[in-house]
Amino acid sequence: MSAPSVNAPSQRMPRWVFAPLALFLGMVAFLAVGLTRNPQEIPSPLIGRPAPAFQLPVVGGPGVFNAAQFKGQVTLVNLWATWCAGCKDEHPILMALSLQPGLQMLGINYKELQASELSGQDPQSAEALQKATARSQAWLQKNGQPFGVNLLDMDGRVGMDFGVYGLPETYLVDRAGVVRFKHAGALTPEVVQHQLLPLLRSLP
Amino acid sequence: MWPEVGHMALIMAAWVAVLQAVLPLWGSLSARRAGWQALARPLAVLQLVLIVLAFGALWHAFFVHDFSVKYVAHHSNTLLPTPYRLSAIWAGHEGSLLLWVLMLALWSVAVATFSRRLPQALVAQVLGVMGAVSVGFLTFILTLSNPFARQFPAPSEGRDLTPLLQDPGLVIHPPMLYMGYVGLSVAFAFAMAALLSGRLDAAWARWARPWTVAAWGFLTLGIALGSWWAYYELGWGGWWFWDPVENASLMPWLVATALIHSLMVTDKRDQFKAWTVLLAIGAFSLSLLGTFLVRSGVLTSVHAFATDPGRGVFILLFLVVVVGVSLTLFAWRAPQWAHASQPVAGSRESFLLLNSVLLVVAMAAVLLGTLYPLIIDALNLGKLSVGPPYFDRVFVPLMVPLLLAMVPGTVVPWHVARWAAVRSVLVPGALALLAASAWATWGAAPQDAGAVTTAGGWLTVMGGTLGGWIVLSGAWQIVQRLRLPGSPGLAWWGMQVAHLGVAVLVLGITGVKSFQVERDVRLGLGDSVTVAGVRYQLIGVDNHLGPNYLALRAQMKVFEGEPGNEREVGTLRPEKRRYVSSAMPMTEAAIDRNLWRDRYVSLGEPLAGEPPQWSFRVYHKPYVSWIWLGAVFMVLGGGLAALDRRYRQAASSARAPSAHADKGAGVSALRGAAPAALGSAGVAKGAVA
Amino acid sequence: MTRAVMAWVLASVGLWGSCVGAQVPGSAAHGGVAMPQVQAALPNAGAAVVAHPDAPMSVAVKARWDHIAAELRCLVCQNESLASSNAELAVDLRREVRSLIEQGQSDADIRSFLVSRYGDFVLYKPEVKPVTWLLWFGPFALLLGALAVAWRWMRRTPAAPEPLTDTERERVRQLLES
Repeated sequence: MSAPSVNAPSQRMPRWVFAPLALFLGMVAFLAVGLTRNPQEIPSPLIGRPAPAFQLPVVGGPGVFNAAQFKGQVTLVNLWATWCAGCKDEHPILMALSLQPGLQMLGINYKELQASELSGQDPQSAEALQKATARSQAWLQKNGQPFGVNLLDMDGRVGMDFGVYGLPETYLVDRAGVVRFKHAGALTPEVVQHQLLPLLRSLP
Repeated sequence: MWPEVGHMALIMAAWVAVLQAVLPLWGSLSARRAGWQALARPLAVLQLVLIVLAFGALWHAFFVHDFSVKYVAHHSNTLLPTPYRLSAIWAGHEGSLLLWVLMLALWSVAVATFSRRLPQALVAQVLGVMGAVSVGFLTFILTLSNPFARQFPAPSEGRDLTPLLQDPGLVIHPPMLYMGYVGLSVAFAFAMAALLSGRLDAAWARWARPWTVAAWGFLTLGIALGSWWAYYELGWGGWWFWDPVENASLMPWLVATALIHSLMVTDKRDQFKAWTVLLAIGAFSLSLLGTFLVRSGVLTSVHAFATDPGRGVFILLFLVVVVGVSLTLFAWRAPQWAHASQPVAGSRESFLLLNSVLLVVAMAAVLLGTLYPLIIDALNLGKLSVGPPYFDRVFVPLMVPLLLAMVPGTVVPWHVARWAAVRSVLVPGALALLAASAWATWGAAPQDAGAVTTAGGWLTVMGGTLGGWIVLSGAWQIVQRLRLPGSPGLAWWGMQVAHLGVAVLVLGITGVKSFQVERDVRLGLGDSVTVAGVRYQLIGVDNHLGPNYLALRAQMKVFEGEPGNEREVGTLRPEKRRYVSSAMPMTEAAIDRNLWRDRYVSLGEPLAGEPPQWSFRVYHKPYVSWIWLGAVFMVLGGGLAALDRRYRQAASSARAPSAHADKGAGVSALRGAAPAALGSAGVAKGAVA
Repeated sequence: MTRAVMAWVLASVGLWGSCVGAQVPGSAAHGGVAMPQVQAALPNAGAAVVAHPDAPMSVAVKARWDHIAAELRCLVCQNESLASSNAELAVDLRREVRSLIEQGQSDADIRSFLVSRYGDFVLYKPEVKPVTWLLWFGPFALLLGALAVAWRWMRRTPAAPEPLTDTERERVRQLLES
C-alpha cells in the first residue's frame, strides 16, 4: 500500500486501486459460468457406491424381489408411475432399450397411489396393493411392458434410498451391484446415445 | 391500440435517454458544447412523460382485461379484484422492469427539480449518468422483455396473478423497494460525476447526502414491507429466510448504510473521499447484481421471476459495463484522493471507519453465502446449499460489534479522542445490562401444560443490553442536548430517531427469538389448546366463497385468565384458500396484534378420521411488531435527516457553517474550517443561482 | 486509548468466533432456546417404538425436530426448508426424519442418512470441510484483515499535504483578508 509521491498525485497508480475491479471481474466470471449451470439439478451421491439393499413385492407375480438379485447382470432401474407425464414420454425409449442384449430392465413403480388418494390409509394394506397392481398392469398392457421385473414401492422408502426427488429417474447398476449412472427426468435419445449406451458398452 | 402506443412511447423514451446520457455529459466535459448541459433537465422530464405514458398503457391493458397482451394474460384474469390488477403490473419480469425505469425517470426528474443550487456541470453529469443507466434498462426491455408483446388469437381468459401476490402488502412492497434500488443510482451518479470531473469535496458530499439518505429510507421501507408481508402471508410466522432474493436487497442496504455514514465524514471532515466514492459505486452495483440474481436463474429462490439465461447474459453484460467503467475510473482518480489525514483512534471518524468496515464485511459475508453454491458448482466441486443456519451464525456476530460501536460513536467528538465522553455513557450501559438480565430471567411467557416454554439465554442478555444501551444513551443525549442553547437541526433528530429504530429492531428480534412459543396441534370442534397461558378454542369450521377463491375458514375463540376465571378476548379466523387458478392452497393466518405480542394462528389441512379434526399451528410471538416498528423509525429518521435545512442552503451561505448540532460541548474549533472554506470558495464560483 | 480499542476489538472478534464455532445445539443464534430435560425418555436405537406418523409429536421429539428440520432443505421446492414445505417428497422425508428421531438416532446420524442419499445439497448448514473452509472462515478472516488494514492506515505517518498552487495561495490570501 504505497502512497503516491506528493508531487505527482495521479501519475503512479498504486496497486490497491485495482483491487475492487479485480474482485468484481472475478465474481463476474463465476456468474457467467453459473449461467450455464442448472441450480435445480442434484447430482447423485450414489454413483460409484453399491445400490441400496431392498426387498419389494413383484407386480402381479408371486413373492418379492431382493436387491441381491441385481448381481451378475447389468441392470437398468427405472422409477416410474402411471400418474407421471414424463414417464409416458420416455416409454418408447424404454421399450427400445428392453431389446438391448445383456441389459436387465427393472421397473420400480414408485408411490403409484399418492397421498391424496390414500387419505390416511396404510399404503402397505392388501387393498392398496391390489389397486396399485391393477393400475400398473393395465398401464403397461396398454403402453408396452419393457421391464423384465416390475416392482411396487408403495410408501416410497426404496425410492428415498435411491435419492429420488422426482419422476421419472433412471439408474444403471453394473454386475457387481454398483451404481454407475443416474438420470433425473425423462430419458431422451441424446442421453441414451451419448451417455447410456457408451457406458453400457464400457462395462465388463 | 394502447399497447402499441405504450410500446412506441418506450422506444421514444429510449432515444431520449440516449440523448440525455450523451449530450449533457459531453457538454460538461467540452467547453465548446457547454450549452448542452442545459438540456439535461428538459430531457429528463421528457423521458418521464414518455415512460408514464407507457406505464399507463400497460395499466390500461390490465384494467380492461386485454388478454391479447401476453403479459396481461399471464398475470391476471377477469375475476381478479381491481387493486390487484394494478399491482399485477409489477408481478412479472417485464412489468417490474417497466416499474424500474419509471422509478429511474422519477428520481431523475426529482434531481432535476431540486438541484437549483447545484453547479450546472454537476447536475448535467448526474443526470447524464442516470440517463445512461436508463438506456441500458430500456434497451433490455425493448429487446428481451417487452411487456407489450401481443398474442393472437387472444385468449378469452387469463391465467391469474399468482395467489401469493394477491395481497395489499405486495401492492406496495415492490414500488418501495425499487425506489430504494433506483434511488441508489443517484448516489452512483454523483460518484461518477466526481470521478469524471475529479472534483470531490465537502460540498459534493453535502449535495449527495439527502439523496442517498432518501434512497436508503425507501430501501429500508421496502425490505421491511417484504419481511412483514412474508410474516403474515406465508403462515409460518417467519420474517426472514436468507433467501437469495432477500439477500439481494439486504446487501445494497448494508452498503448504503455504510455510505450514509461515510458521506457524513466526507461532508464534515473532508475525509474518506475515495472510500465514499467506492461505497457509492458498490451500493448501486449491488442493486444491479440483485437484478441479475433474481432474473437470470443462477440461484433458486421462491421469489425469482421466471428465468431465462438470455436475459441473464444481457444483465451481466450491462453490469460489467456499468461497474467496470466506474471501477476503472475509480482506479484512475482514487490516488489523488488518498492523501487525507488519518483519523485518530477514538475519534468519531475512527468509529465511522469501523462502521464502514463492519458493514462491508457483513455484506461480503452475505454475498459469499449467497454465491457459494454457485461458486462450488462452477468449480465442479459438487452441489451444496447455504441457508439460514449459516447466515445466522455468521451475520449476527458481525452485527454485535457494530451495535456496540453505535453508542460511543455518537458521543465522541470529531477529530480527537475523548474517552471521557464514552465514560459518561457507561452508566446507561450498565443499566441496560441489568435490565436485559432481568428480562432474560423473567421475560418468558407463562408456562403451558405439556409444552416447553423457552427461557432467555445469554443471547437475550446480549441483544437486550445492546438495544437497551442505544435507547438509554439516546435518551440521555437528547436530554443533554435540549439543555444547551439553540435547537439541533433535523439531521440530528433524524439520527436519534433512526438509531432508536435500530435499537427497537434489535430488541424485537431478540425478544421474539428468545421468548416465542409454538404449538402444533390437532383440534376437533370444541377442542382447546393453551399457548402462553391463553386458551384457544375451536368453535367452528365452514366454507367461505371469496371473489376468486374458495376458503376453508376456522373460527377460534380466545380466552385469557385462569381456568375458572376466564374471559373471552376475541375471535380469530384463520383460512386456507384455494384460488381458482392455482393448485397450491394459500394460508391466511389469523393474527391478533398489539405492541407487545402477536397471537398467530394458522390453519393446516383437514385430517383423516372421525370425528373431523384439523391441524393448527398456534404461535405466541412477543415483541415481533417491534421489528417493523424499528424499521419505521429508521425510515422516519432518514426522512428527517434528508429534509435538514442545511442541505438546502444556498451555496454562498455554505461558507459560514451554521452551528449545527454536535454531541457534547466543547468541540474543538479546529473542525477543518480551512479545507471547508477552500471548498466553498470553489462552490461559490460555480454555483448557479 | 489504543490498548482499550484493541482490547475491545479483540473482545468483539472473540465473541464472534465463539458464535461461529459454537456447536451447542439450539443455543447459538436462536435466542437461547432451552433444550428440554426429557431426553432420557427417547428409546434406544433399534428399539423402533415408532408412533403413528400423523399423531402429534411428543415434546421431546418436537424439540429435536424443530432443531433439525430447519437445517434440512426441501429438494423439490424453490428454496424452502423441510419443515415448511407442502411437497409430497417433503412430507415423506419429514415422516422418515421423525421416525429416525423416535428411534433415537442422533442429529449427525440423521444428517448422514440424508446426505448419503441426496448429497450435501440437502443440508442448509454446510458441513465444515475443506471445500467449505472459505465459506465458514472467510468472513472472519476478512474482518481481521480489514481491521488490520484500517489499523495500519490509521497509524501511518501522515503524508505532507500538497503544496498550494499559486492560484490557491492567492485565493487563501483573499479569504483571510476579506
